[in-house]
Amino acid sequence: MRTVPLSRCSRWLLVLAFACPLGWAGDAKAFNGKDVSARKIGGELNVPDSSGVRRKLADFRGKVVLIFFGYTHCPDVCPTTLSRMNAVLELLGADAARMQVLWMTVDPERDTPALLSNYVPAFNPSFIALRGSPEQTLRVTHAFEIQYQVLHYNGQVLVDHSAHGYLLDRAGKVRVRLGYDMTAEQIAEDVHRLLRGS
Amino acid sequence: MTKVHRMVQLALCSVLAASAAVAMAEVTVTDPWIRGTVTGQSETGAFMTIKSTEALKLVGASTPVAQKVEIHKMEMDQGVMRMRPMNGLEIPANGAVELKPGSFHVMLLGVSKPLAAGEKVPLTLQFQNKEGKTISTTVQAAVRPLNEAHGDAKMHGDMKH
Repeated sequence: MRTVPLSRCSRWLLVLAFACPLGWAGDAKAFNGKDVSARKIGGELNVPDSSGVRRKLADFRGKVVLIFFGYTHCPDVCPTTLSRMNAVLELLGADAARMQVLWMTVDPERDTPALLSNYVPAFNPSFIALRGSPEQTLRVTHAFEIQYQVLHYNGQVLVDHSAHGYLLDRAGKVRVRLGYDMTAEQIAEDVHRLLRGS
Repeated sequence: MTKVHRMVQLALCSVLAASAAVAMAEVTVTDPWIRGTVTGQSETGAFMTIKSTEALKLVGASTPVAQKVEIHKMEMDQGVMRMRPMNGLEIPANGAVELKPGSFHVMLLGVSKPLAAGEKVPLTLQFQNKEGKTISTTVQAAVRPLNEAHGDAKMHGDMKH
């Protein structure tokens, strides 16, 4: 009978009708940060951490990576950001073990490995500080679209730098750009989305 | 002798009167704190709220724990953080100026030894009034942990909208 294929067809239409709004709703509110999945941002790290171990993205495969850039002589933005990253881990609870926070200095001249080893774990012992050579620092910051400038002014050093960071998914791909003005709650939600595999 | 004594008394009185006039500008510093440091870190920031009954300008500061102290402003320019020394910070009459992460701070440069949470550090603030008179006040700033999130309005969600 001719009615059979018709009802089969309408059944599919029903499935589509339910599936589409769900799909759209998911896309409309993908991340709190800026979805940069389609952009070619980032690249291999291949820089030493504060203990001298050369770090690659593959070291963190299976974990969501949160990366920010800064310098230890910063009184304001950097400690605030690092404290916020610690708050993100607290909000994640058990899922914190599935995330790695990386913090790379843009002032490797003053940020010695010893200083970084004291400074960064003071926020959370699991945080890893990265310190490249001047060339490596240029390469990585360029790849991650981070601007920085070290200025010598009136006997002091002033470091201007981009305050944003990124979330990388479990495969090491840069997915979300995190603005400086995002809350720990918003960042934790984005980490959860990446851990769920969106 | 008595006359001289009287004159000294008068002179003293006028000095006291002058200082009393300057002291008319009542400066209140609330919740002064310094971000703690780790070994090898020679710079940090101090934060507080300053109120004055008279319009003043914060022109300088000093502390025994730092070689140099400056007043800085943090600003974001298209996502890039810049910190710049300021010549002075205006404190409007009866208004409160908050020095907090994300705006103004007192920058401690050349900090020779680590500042541990719980320590109290004397911090002398120098103000100038419209007549150019200098007023100083010393506060005991509490050292808070390096990872202190206080003043991180964004984290507590009470950011201005």
